[in-house]
Amino acid sequence: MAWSQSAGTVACARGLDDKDVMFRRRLTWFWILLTALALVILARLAQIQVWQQAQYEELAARILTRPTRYIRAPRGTVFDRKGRPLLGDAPSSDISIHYAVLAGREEYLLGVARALRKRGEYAAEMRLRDVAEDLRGKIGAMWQRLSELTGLSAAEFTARAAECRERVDRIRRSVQQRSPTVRRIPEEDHLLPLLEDVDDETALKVQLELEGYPWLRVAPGSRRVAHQADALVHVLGRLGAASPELIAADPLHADELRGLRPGDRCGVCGVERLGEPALRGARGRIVEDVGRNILERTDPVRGRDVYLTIDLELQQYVLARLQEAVEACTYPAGGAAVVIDVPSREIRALVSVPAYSFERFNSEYDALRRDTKYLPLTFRAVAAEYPPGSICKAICLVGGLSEGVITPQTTIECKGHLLPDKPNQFRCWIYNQHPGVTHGPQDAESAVRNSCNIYFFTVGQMLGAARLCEWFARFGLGRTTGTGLIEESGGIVPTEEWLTRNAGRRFLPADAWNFAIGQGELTCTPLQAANVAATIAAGSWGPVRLAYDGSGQALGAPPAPAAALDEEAVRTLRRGMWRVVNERGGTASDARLDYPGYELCGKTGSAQTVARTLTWRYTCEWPDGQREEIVAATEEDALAGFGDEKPRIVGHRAAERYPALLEGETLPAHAWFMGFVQPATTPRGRAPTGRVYAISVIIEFGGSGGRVAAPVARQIAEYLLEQER
Amino acid sequence: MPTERRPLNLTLLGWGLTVPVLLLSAIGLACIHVTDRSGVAGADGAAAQTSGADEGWLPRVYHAVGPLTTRQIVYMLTGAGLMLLVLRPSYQKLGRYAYPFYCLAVLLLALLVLDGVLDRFHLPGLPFVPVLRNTRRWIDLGPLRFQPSEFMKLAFVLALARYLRFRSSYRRWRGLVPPFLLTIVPMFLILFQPDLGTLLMLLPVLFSMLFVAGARLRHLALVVVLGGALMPAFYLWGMKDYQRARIEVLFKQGTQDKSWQMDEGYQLRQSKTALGTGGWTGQGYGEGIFVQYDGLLPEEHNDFIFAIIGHQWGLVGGLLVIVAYSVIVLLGLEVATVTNDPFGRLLAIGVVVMIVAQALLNICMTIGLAPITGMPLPFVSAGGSSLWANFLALGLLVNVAQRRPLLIAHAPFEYGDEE
Repeated sequence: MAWSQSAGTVACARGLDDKDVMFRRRLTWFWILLTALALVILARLAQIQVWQQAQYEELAARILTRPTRYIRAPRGTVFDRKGRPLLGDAPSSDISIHYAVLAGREEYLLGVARALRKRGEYAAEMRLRDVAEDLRGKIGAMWQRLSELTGLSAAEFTARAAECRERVDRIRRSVQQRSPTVRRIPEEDHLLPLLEDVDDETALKVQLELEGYPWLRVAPGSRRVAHQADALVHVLGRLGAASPELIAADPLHADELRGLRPGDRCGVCGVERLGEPALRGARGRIVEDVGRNILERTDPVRGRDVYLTIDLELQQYVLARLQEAVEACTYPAGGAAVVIDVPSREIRALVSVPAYSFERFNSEYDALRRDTKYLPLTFRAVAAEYPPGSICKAICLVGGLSEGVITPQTTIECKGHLLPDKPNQFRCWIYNQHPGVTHGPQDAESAVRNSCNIYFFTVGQMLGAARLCEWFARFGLGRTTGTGLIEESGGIVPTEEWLTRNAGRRFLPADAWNFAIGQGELTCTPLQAANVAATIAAGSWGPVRLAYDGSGQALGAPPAPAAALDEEAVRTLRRGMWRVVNERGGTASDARLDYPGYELCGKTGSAQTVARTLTWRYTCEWPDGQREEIVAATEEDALAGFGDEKPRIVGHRAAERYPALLEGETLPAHAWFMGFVQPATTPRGRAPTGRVYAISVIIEFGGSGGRVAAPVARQIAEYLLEQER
Repeated sequence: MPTERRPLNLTLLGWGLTVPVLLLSAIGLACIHVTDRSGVAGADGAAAQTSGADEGWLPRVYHAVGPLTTRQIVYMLTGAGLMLLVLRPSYQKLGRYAYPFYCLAVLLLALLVLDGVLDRFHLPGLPFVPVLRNTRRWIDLGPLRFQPSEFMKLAFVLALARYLRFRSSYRRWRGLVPPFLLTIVPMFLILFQPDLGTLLMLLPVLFSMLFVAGARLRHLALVVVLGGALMPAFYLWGMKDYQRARIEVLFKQGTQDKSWQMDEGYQLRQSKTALGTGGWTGQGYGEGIFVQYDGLLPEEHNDFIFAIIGHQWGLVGGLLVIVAYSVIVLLGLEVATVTNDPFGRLLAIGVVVMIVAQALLNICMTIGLAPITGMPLPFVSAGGSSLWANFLALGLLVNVAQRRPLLIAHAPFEYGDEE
């Protein structure tokens, strides 16, 4: 050691080396300690720089790469069957805001303050916290100004900001569930979309006034624009935020470029949802290094277009006629109409009334949602379940004939009521309207023509409820028709199992009578009714089609095999349905076509129903047993008025109903018509060929199907024929 | 006459100390220059501040060298000037001012604490105390901005050496109280800044000075054991969350749990990556991503400058730095050995430990052996106060080396270890 055998000259000069024993020994220990520390450091350095070098090279490559940026892919356009664009992307602007501002993160503000001060926007001698304080004031003013510029209320902005923040917090929670030690996720350093689809003028104003702040950005985006397609508002549906459920259900979920990601917008209903896989396209990707040099770039791929089978002009025409018919009712409530091209089973029109405009949906969504009287948001044509009423008699007849319980010639006498000793139960409609009047003896065709209840009560009884319901199912009731729309409902065809589960009973003898005339638990949608008509015209059931993607691939459920019916039985029915419209005294003789070369066949229905309940009278009970009644539209609304302590709802009954009947008035039935247009040259009863269209019309609380719904069907048919001539 | 010029070889020994210091300063300057990005395009593609082409040669040189580098050069030159200044009067003369100097430093620290207290009661703060990153460490007198705690360390070494030089009282329990008081007062004041790293640096100085002065080993060992026993309690209740997290990071770095790299461990991950990509011989001067891109390594010319050295010159570069510090220790201890003046001996030990402990802690935190605290690498990191304090310390060391030992004197600190 240097000092213990210290340089000779020094030691000798002092002559002290024999005395410095303790000091030198302690220095030796000191030296040993330091050497040991140095060796530990060297070993560690060697570990990092030599043994783990490859590992750190890899890490460095990752550090060098910035987080991948994605470019939104333009969404495909939706066209009608004649190539008219209905929905497409149009340029717009998005306003985004930094998460840290929403979360009020102090160090972000200090960082911005430092950058601004460095840039010279604040005096260099200002303290950072003073700059940050000033920035905080500017953020407050920014919200105020944003509200003025965009016309949205301050409360609306608060809600949007909270929503943005919640979205990130949700992602963080789910990340932390997987790896609990993560404290910060990349989204917390992102700009989040605060306002989308901002018009150019507002965007420019915001850009000029506010974009000096690094936490706000106005960037080009795109919005979905409908072109004069308000008649298709229900069909086209809309976009919404990709919810965790939608993302989990997305089949392309694992695909980095095609799969949905949080923060995306995607179709949530209607054709936007149906065509989502085609319309979406693939997002672009940019990978950059820290110097912003692009390492890899994938351009976005525009989504494929979708072609509807619907004809926009026909749709508009049907909507107008239906609106007129609905408004002409004593109690206007709503309605629906469907047109199907029978040979291809393509839907030509799918109309629900009341409709609303795309613009109104954006501006008055809440009013639309709360309208329990007209339920404008309901996509009635595919989603509303109505009792089918007499249109079911057509199916009942085919069932009876096919099963051999009756022949076309079997005659059943209508005495006005079914049970000889109970004249007030199970009556024929004619006996109801004109007491004492009956249809007399009826064979199959005339029973259809007259829609005689007694005939079909009897056929239903012969078949039995269970077998009858099997026949309804064979005509496509009780399941969806295959459009693939998320809104589409299957309606109800009771089975033994269904009744046990939902009504707590088994089939009763009266079920056969009720189901045979389309009452009771049985329900169907207007689309199903139109497909029943198409099934009768074609002689077999088949799935309907609503949309194709650009390559001609049908969207929706995979095609189900067509199910052929007993042709002889269907011919009898067709002859009956021809007589319904084209014979004097038929229930729809008002609907006889005034168009050369074509004729309409059909079946009317007047389905008895119950009034719609607009508000309920809820009985609420407090824990101390005290009760009170509240009138509200939903349970949620009823309890909304209370604070944190809410009473328990113990019962409810209807408060306000629609239609609200006057004294002595009877509730009007839903007016139904279903039928098909065929060339007049078709031999009576034969399956028509050439231009054949199936049509269904329902007008809620319209009254008589023959007088109210059938004329609308006639107008539709005439327009169709004229248009396609 | 207490002092006299010494023979040439001893003068050489003192001046030999400046060789590793110059080497370290040169390495530091090179690293600061290469990462000096003020006014240069950063990784975010920010526009470069254009240095006007029509300016004279002086501004152009200034821009070429870089503002931070220029400042460091100025600090070094003034630091060297200060060093020469303290060489002239004998260190023993300077030692007479040890207590006033100590009091002045304590007073300056107290001013920082006072500003914090004023702020706590929402009173206007002192105008010359800036709050940077939520800490109060600087005193800002317009053109002159310095950290009192850096000079406190030096004043502490002087005062302690002054106190211990002729005594033997510290060989009893009661006699240990004044040295510990001398240490605890500045530690307590620095705690309020807060600056945990600087605060803890006083402890190795105290212990080594007591150790070589001949304090009883069992006393020192007992204090160390007691302090060690208190550590868990301090960890649980005395530390802030971020400080605890920085310690936890140390234990997580080798495990499969990679989450440590996100927050508190981010700096450590970056510095280890910078070192790891250096390999044996490094990427070369001015090469490598951590040099070429701004913002990858925080505090790259300050606390983490050792990572930049390892990145550019690899294990060899790191070794060179360690060897340089070893030479300082070697020569410093030699100075302590050849002088027989107790004050000079203690002063030399104190200065050496002050420098080397900082260097060790800085390197250890860069390579993940110690929790991250703001601690510059002596003579290498950018920063005026630290550089000045270290040059002054070096000056005192050389000063001690240059004085002739007492001819007739009792050998100091000879008690025999275990009597």
